[in-house]
Amino acid sequence: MNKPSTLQSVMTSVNRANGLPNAHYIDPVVFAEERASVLFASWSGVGFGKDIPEPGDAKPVDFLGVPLLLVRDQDGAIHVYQNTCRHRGMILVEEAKNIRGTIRCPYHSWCYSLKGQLRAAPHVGGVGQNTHEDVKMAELGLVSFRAHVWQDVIFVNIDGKAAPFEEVHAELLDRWQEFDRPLHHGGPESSLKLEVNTNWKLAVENYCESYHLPWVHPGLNSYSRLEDHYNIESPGKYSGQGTLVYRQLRGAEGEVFPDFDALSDKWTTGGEYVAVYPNVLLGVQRDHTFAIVLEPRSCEQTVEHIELYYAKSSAETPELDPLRHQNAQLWKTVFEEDIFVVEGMQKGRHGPMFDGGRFSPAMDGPTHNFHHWVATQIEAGRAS
Amino acid sequence: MNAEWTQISPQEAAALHAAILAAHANHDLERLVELYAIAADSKEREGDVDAACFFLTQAFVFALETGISRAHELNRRLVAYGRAWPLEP
Repeated sequence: MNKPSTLQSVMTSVNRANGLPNAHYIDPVVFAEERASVLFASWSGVGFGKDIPEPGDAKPVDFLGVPLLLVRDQDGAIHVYQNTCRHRGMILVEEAKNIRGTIRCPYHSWCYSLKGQLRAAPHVGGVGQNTHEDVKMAELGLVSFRAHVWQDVIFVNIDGKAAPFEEVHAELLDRWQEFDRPLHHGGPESSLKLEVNTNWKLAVENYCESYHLPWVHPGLNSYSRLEDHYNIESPGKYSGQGTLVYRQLRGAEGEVFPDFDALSDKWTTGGEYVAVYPNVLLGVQRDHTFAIVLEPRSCEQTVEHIELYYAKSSAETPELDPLRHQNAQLWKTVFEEDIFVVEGMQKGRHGPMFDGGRFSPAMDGPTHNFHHWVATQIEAGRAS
Repeated sequence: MNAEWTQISPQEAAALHAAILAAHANHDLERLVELYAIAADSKEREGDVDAACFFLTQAFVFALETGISRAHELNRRLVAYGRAWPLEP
């Protein structure tokens, strides 16, 4: 392996910095390094609570090759386990399902409770003998990853070394504490999935900044001009953009979605869109939110899982189903408009003379903030 | 299947075996609990503790998987033979 390139040129001020080198987008060796130092070493999004809504619901997820099992236990708590039996390493659950009792390995039927304890190891001591002095049940529960649910996103720290989620993201939790209330998923039409040929970071970078809006999303220009946006930058934590002119969607009869309760005046016409490093993109507005989990499939392939949420459920407001449909279509259009740029930037990074690019000091602060964080994570990984 | 029989005939044993295979094929877990428990009862009456505990274990595992309360009863029987740890409540 070649000596890794230094990232000093990234870790300087936005006025002078270059972006991350091409290798961070096209080199599988660097992708593997980022897997460990960036995605496993921090709190990454791996799914949504709405995918396991009922007690006993279990959903297997492959996160960068790690088999995970998302489980909601009988008390409603969400767990993320390694989807691997402690006996012979068999995958425990192949497809999403509801588990009424225990998680039974399909190979030798070792059984685990929804809270991860080993409940039975049949015939482990011989036929009809379910104990053995050297097989300690209490030591053989499922491997459990640290998990935290916020804005319905299930965050996981794979390497177990990150500071607690509430500590890492204390500033953002405080900034958006007004939206820390029940969210109601909009239903099947409010789930969007985009498969894009790009490195996952380019989706973050494009989401962070408003610079591209008048060029890529001209439909927003009529009411959401560039000058109505502001940068959001928290060094080492998150970045994004805000708007001062969020306008509610209105139906044919003038109907709107109900607001979240007790919001301050800021949100009457405000909306904020933040990348929660590394791979979660969130948006909040007075009447609906959305969450995007970027699933890095490979160095140059990413799946965007997009979910829309409302203050009131569809059951409570069935008359708004057409408006929810309209809103989903609107966001789908916006997110699809971004595909050509994230795929285009990916192609561009195969140009060997590209030097990571220079930033607009005025407009690209949020993107540079992200690059700086990624570089810091990588340097920390190299130093350890 | 008549659980009151003291011993099951070869024909009954064959029918039980076929029923167990069918329940496996249909992923009918509650039925598997029932059938393995019948097999365990039969072996227990014959005094074949090892075979009884094999079938009790099978019944117990599927009862655990389905989350039915009978798992506790089956577990207690295995524990009584020294063949399992007591289930936590």
